[in-house]
Amino acid sequence: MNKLIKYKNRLKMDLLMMLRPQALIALVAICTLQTLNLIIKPWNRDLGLGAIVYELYGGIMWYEFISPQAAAFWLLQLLPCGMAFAGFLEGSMDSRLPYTAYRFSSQTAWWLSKVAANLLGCFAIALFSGLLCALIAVLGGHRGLLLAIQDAQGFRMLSMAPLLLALLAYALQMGILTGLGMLVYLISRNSRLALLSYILPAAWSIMRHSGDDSLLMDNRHRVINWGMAKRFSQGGGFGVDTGEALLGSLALILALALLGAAVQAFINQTQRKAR
Amino acid sequence: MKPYIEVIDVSKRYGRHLVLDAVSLHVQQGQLHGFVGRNGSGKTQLFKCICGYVRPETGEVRVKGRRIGKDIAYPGSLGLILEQPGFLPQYTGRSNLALLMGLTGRVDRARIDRALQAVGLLEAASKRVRSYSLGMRQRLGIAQAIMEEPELLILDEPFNGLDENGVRDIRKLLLTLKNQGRTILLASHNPEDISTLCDTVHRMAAGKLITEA
Repeated sequence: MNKLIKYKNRLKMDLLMMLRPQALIALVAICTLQTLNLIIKPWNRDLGLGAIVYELYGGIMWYEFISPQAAAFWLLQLLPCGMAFAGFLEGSMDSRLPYTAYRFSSQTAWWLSKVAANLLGCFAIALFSGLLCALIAVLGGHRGLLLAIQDAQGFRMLSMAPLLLALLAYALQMGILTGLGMLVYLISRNSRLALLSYILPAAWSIMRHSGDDSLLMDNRHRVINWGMAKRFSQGGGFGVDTGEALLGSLALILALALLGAAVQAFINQTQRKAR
Repeated sequence: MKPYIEVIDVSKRYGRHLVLDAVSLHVQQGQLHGFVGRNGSGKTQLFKCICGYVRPETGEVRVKGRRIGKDIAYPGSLGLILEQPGFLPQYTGRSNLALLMGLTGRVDRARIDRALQAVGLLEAASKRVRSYSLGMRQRLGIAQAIMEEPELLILDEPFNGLDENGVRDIRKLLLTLKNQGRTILLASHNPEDISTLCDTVHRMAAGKLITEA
């Protein structure tokens, strides 16, 4: 019981670091602007609530040419998590380290606790973003959480699955990027480098898709596509396989966490100065 | 009797700079050892080696017979002040302590209040840390070190930023803790703090330890 309370308290403290007012303000501002930008368009007036959230957090359709505007739109959506991640690095992994490290049984326990808190934070951001987007859409007069999809036989049916899938993929995408950032920070103790490693892979990967030739075949192995539910095949022949994307994301997050745990044996975090 | 802390021939080097030079030290349980020396003489590095934050290149540190960095990562029952404590300014003093105590398990409000009372911060415990003076933050730092009632206290310059009353209060507190059987390592630039409080005084210079009395 005491162990459970301890783990809960550890997660709580790191979530407080992540979800600081600066990050939450950025999240509210970006989500509000993007939702308003979507619902004021006349052709979106009849969209349901679920469709709006899906439209916003599902990313870019697999067959679409990625314009600079669309790329910027998606990268902007990754920004609140980037800000939360910056707070997490500063608060949980840097300035408070001398006062928190010895309260863990080992450096590995400290690292695994940070990994879990970071992942939970990404899910919290995705959930909060989805709820806020839905709230704004409701205020804009949109109703209906269910989306029209086609089943394997081609029949039309209503489901909430695409909406949940979009938020899940979005959360996992942030989990991969922050996981990479954490590993870079662990090795370099350089928060700027860690933040660059959060945004640069996403920016580089999405820019690579802006040419016509790399739309189809290349899609499956690009990690950025694993975060956009609209690039999933969802029963069709094209796009990224949904299972592959979700399992791939989870595997990558786990691999980064385990790599960090292995690196711990060679790096003494408390001995090095943050840069 | 086996020493509570054994530092055996510990050396540490950063690049060409030798910060600890074959340091050996034995501390019995319930003793208060003082460390003096100029900035950069190696006091903080020695403390970091004892609490498991720095791995020595040669030699070893044992606390209660267990090797730090090998048998255990950190001494099991430890309270620590190193550098300026990084509290969350938007939270109250009490909440900050609760968040830190929560890392080890259940939050014991009575213990937190006892620690706040001991450092004279109980009345200001519900104020946000951003409104605290430097001295109040230092008192809060001492409170976080003692609140879990640890067996070993490592205090690096705990009197920094404290006014005359603060220094007097904390000296009294340290003597009380010593009388309760806590083992305390204390570094201070003020020779009076060291001479009035400590059983043994160590002087550090260029990474070497000279035990004076």
